[in-house]
Formats: sequence, structure tokens, C-alpha cells
Amino acid sequence: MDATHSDTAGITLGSTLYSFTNEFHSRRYDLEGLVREVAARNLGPGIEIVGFQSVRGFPVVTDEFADWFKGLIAETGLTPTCLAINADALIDRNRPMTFDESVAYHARQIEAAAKLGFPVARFQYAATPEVVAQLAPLAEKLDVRLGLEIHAPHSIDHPDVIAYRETYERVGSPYLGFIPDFGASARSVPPAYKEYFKWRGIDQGMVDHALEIWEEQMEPFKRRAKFLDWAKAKDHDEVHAVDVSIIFGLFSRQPLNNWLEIMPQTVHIHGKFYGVDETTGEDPSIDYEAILPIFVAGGYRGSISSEWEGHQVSDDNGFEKVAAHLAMERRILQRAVQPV
Amino acid sequence: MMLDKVIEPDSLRAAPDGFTLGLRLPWYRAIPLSNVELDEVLIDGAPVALDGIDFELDGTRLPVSELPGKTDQFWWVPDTATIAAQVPGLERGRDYDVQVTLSIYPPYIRGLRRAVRWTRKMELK
Repeated sequence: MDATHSDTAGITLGSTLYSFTNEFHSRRYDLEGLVREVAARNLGPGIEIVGFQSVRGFPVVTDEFADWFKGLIAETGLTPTCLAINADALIDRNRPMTFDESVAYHARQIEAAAKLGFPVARFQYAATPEVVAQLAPLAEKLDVRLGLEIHAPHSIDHPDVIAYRETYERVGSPYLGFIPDFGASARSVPPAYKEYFKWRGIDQGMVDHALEIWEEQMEPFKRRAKFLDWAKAKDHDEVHAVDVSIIFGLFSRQPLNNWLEIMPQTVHIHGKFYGVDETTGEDPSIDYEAILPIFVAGGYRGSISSEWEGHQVSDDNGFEKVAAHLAMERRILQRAVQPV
Repeated sequence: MMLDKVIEPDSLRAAPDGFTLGLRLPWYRAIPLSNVELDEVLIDGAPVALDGIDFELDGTRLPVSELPGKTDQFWWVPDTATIAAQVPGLERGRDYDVQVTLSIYPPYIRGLRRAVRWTRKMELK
């Protein structure tokens, strides 16, 4: 394997084990099985895991577990890229975590990242800028960069994200950064979702109306409520309406060049995708042909995890999906670095 | 797909006062039991009283009505939970249509609810 990744424009490609949720949920693979399969199928070198998915009892990571995990990574030759951590502010649904509780909750997970050998911890916007600012010294001490995942329906100029950008400016730590999730710069709702809603027998009129709201220009966090209020007024099946409403939180649009604004602070990327069309070799809902060259031109030389999220709506094989996605990324990146 | 996995196949078992049933978490990561709600259980189309259903995971058993307060125990992805319901007059060896509606409220996104409703025909063993 070429350590400089010159054939991928200096970018480290790889997988998040989240892509293999179908394989893990069905108990066909455990953590060790997934890591070995990623290596065997050449779906690395980068490997990312979600702490609360892959590690039982997370964020508790015993010395024994950490030794075993690091040994497995060393044996398989993979490169740990990112540990996804969570801002579980509403464990008690009636009382959100206090500032101190949230700092402690995140600190344990950042310590877990360091213990498992991950150089980056993905965090979520619910953490709040103040909590993350408080955690910057710990991140520096442990040498773990913290990346706010910019996930749909956020865009980089949404007030929630602006608040982080301003806090980063004030704190001035190189350990505070961003993780673009390409679902936040989608071009359409993926075909897999439309097929799933049809398969589930959900009223087509309800789905069509949801897709119309998805296209509307409005405060993105209000789309879900607007749709659910409409569905309730129309007396649509509540469980079906809740199912359809997932589209408002998974994909959204923004100008692709927006990513350039935060590129110097980008510490990792979630290469979100829902499927590569076998005929065209492209992702119909996320325009990789346009997005990846922007990151190359912008000087990004970090890691991208192929993140297939189709487990929500299909039983398809995640390994095959990721292999197709990596092939697409390599093709695009090779072209991006070839002299014209 | 998570929707059709919520009822563990071949998990319907006779109990002295009703039945037990295996449930799977319809989500990709562990979440606290306080973020899980059992909305409805039907057996052959007849609603089962929720206030008589217990939820059991990893040796902890509690009434489903107490799930919202159970903030200190997480349901991990590969694990099967068991519910125990009181329904008199069920016949062992007969097939039943069991329908479950389960909601989860992921703790990191305010207002997000994921709801699954699925029916599985199973022999009561």
C-alpha cells in the first residue's frame, strides 16, 4: 500500500464500521469480524468506528479491551482515523444534561479515543460550543482533534455552525475542527428511500408532499415539524409519517463550494452515500464528481470514511456498497490529480 | 433495514400467565432504556394491556412504564430484550400474529423519534 496515497491525491480513504450496520445488527459479524473483513476486502486503510455501536459498555474502555483493539488494528495494518462520539444531552428526556455533565460525558469519550489510538473524535452539534471550548485543553493534552460533524440539515452558514466557527476563532486551538458529512450537500433524496417508502405501503401522496417540503427554502430544522403537522391535519398514519420524516434529518442541500470556507479546519470527512449506480458509476443523490475535486483543490489531505447509511432502508451488503464507493472515489481522485 | 427486525424470529414463548417475546433495538447504536418506548402490542389483532408488560434486558426486569426513568442502562445493538405480557388463554403450538410498535428517541437530537411497527406470525412454543 502506498503510504503517501499519491493515487488518491494524498487523501486517506477507508471505511466506517457504521457502513456495516446490517452485518453487525444481524450478528453475522462482531467487531473483530468487521475489522478483519475491512482489511481482507481492502476497504481501508482508514477505519472509523462509532463508540456506542462497536464497543459494549462505551464510553468505558478497559485496558484489556484497548490492548486487544490496538493489537487487532496493528495486525490488520489498518489506520485508525476517527472515533465517532455522541452528545447524548437527552438521556433523561425531561432534563437535558447540565454544562458540567456534558463536559464530563464528552471527556470520557475523548479519553476513550486516545486510549484506542484514534487521532480524531467526531462530536455532534448538541455538545454546544461552550462545552467544546472547555474540552480544548484535554484534546490538546491527549492529542485528539475534535471535529464537529456538519450533518444535514445543517449547512456551514447555519447559525448553529456559525456559533462554533466563532468559538473556534476565539479559542484559537488547532485541535478544534470540522467533519463535513456529504449528506449536508446532497442534490436529491436517494432513490433507496423512495423505494423503501413504496415497499412499506406508505401513501404516495404523503411521500410526494414530504419531497416538496424537502425542496423548500426554509429554516431546515422546521421542515420536519411542518411535515408532521401537515400529516396530522390530514389524518395520515402517524407511524408512517414519522418514518418519512427521517429524510429531513439525513440529507440537505448547500452550495458545494461552501465547504472551502472550513477546509483548513477540516479534520476528517464522512463520505456519506446511499448507493453507487452500477450503470453510471455515480452516486445519484450526492455529486461526488463535483465535491471531491473541490476538496483536492482546497488542499485537503486528510481522511474520508465511506459511510453507507442504507441500513435504514435495505438489507443490502455493506461491504459491496463500500467497495463500489471506494472505486468511485479512487477514479475521481486519480483524475483530479492527473495533469491536464 | 431496521423495521422488520424489531421482533426476534421464533421468539414467542408460552409463560404461565401469557407469553414472552424477543425484541431487537431498531437502531445502529446503543441507547439508554429511557429513550425507548413500547407503544403497542397486538396479538391476533387484540391489544395487550401495556401496564401489564415487563421489559427484561441483561438480567434487569422492569415494567415498561418505568422505561422513561431508566437512564443508567443502555440497550446494545446485538442484544435481544424480552417482554413478558399477561394474556390468558393462549394455546401452545398455535400460530399467532404478533404486532409490535416501538419508538426510540435518540438522545442527541431533540425532537427526533424513530418508530417501527411490524407484525410477525409465529408459533407459540
